[in-house]
Amino acid sequence: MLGVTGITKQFNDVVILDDVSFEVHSGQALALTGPNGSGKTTLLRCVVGADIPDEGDVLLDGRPLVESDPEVRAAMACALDDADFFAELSVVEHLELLARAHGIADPGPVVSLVLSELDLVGQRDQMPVTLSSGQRRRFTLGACLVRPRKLLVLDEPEQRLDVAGRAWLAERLRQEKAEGCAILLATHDPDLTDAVADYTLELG
Amino acid sequence: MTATVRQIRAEIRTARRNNRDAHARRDRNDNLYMLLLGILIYGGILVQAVRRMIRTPPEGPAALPNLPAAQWLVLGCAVLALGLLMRGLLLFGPVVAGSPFQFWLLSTPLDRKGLLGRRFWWSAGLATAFGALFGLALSALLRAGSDGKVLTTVVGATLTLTVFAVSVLLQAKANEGRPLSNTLIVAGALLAAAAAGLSVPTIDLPLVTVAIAVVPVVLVVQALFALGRLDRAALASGTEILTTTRAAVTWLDITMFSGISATRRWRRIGRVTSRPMRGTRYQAMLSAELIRVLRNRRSLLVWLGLLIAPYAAARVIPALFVPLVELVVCTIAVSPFASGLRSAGRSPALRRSLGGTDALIRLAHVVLPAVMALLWTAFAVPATGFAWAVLLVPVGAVAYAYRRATQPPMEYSGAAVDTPFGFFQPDVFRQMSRGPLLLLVLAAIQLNL
Repeated sequence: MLGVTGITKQFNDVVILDDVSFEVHSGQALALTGPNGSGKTTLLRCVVGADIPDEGDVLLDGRPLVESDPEVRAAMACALDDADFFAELSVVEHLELLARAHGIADPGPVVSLVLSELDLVGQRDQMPVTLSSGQRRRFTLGACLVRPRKLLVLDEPEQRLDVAGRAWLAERLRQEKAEGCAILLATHDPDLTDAVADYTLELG
Repeated sequence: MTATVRQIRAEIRTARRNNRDAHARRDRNDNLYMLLLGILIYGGILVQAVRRMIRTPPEGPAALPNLPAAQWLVLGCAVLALGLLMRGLLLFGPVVAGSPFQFWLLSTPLDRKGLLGRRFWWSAGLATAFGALFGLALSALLRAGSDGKVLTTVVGATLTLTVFAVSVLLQAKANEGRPLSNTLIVAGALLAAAAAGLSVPTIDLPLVTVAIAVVPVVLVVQALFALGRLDRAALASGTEILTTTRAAVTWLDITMFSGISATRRWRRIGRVTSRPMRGTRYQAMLSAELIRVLRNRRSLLVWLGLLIAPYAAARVIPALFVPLVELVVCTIAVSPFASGLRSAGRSPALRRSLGGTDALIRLAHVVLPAVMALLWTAFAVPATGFAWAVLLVPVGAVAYAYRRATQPPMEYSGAAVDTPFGFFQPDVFRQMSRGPLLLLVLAAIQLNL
């Protein structure tokens, strides 16, 4: 599904990623671990095309992953730190728009389910700018879950979730794997890693 | 015994002097130099522009062909501008205190009126000077005589100072003053509409009218006493937007300001009635655009209100320049409808999550501004009749919106050139070519059609 070969990235003379390679197949999860500053987020950004590596290749289904390719966008759902919103649309309208933009004609049920699972029912009519950082984090996660996907790329999805939220997340990601979705996540949570990851890649 | 504000100021000055090394002193001198240079350059440009307008008023005969209409139009625009000024002042504060000032000084029992007095008087002085210059410039536009010049200058200064003082009084009551600013804006628009469409009498006020200058004096005294009631919440509210505005001015990137202004607006509104969408893929994006329009009715009102401009221009300026006015005003009217285009155009993350190609996502979001530009131009056509130059109006407005929305982000990390007029970013040229220069080219073509 996803193949990363020899990714190298440095800022001036500071080497962030040095020849990183891995593969993630359908129904599997790879957890990137390591201390802050070890390059987890940079690696995820290079994988999704938000950043350009100095060297190395990223392949999706055997083809180079080009971020602007509609097929790549249809397959890959990302929750990174660069999430953005339309200022004038409410939470539920965003989720409905994303689902419809990915071809779901009747997104009502899936949007309601995701809002309920992420405990955002009370915020459905709020503007994104009014959400707390935790709610915004869950909203970004929700944006990945209302649309079809073959690959989930998540940057520290456990952040700002309470104990029950983390348990739900682990269960939900296991379910995603069972449905054939590949998952690449960066995390600091060993419990989440144990519960979800088939492989672990320690950076730094 | 509590120290006085004067003593504290003296202590801070002494401490700064003692603790500042040579390098920091140089930095301070540089900052001072830049500030003075800025005042000289921008203040000088403003004063020179007004002086030039008085000596040689813009194109046209010595006496205006339709003086009453021009007078009422100017009056309408001035009232509208006062409403916008009040809105703007209350967005910033108008009395603002930065974080260190709040933390170290406002938390003490020191007399708040004394602490804030200096910045209050500076702001009041600037407002008065700006209003006076503005009034003087208007008198030149209207070809007024010396009495008229004195009158408009004093009235301009008086009104801006009044608006400033009222804004401070509203700030002290944590009141956003929306009813008052809205009333001014609507009244100004109605006056301008009347000037554009009706037969209006000449305004010929006696010089004694300058006695109205007494009004702001009373209000300024009240506002000065209100300083003591300004709490930290009221003083902090404008800090964020002031910082952003400074950055926007430094980098000539007005979108920084409009972005934060929109964020504040939607934060204030908070919750809305969510509406259902229709269709899938690009059709759904169009549906979302319609929701945005219905939610942003103020933009529709502005769009409608700006239609007065071509009709007013047709009455008071030579016919050759009316399409130019249409081009600029249509661009302003259409801009709010391009907010979806701006969001999608500037955020790769948003496009990534929407799916599809970049080109079609942009196309889906350009439909609404294009329709609004065409409608606006169609409604404006009766003002001038059909002319080839008018055809460029919607094209220019949409092209401007598109180019601005899809411009790459300002490159702050690039080299800045240190000129005698301050640091200059070469990237500014590229940014200009994404909008203002395009309008300039279209305007030149219009004039030659």
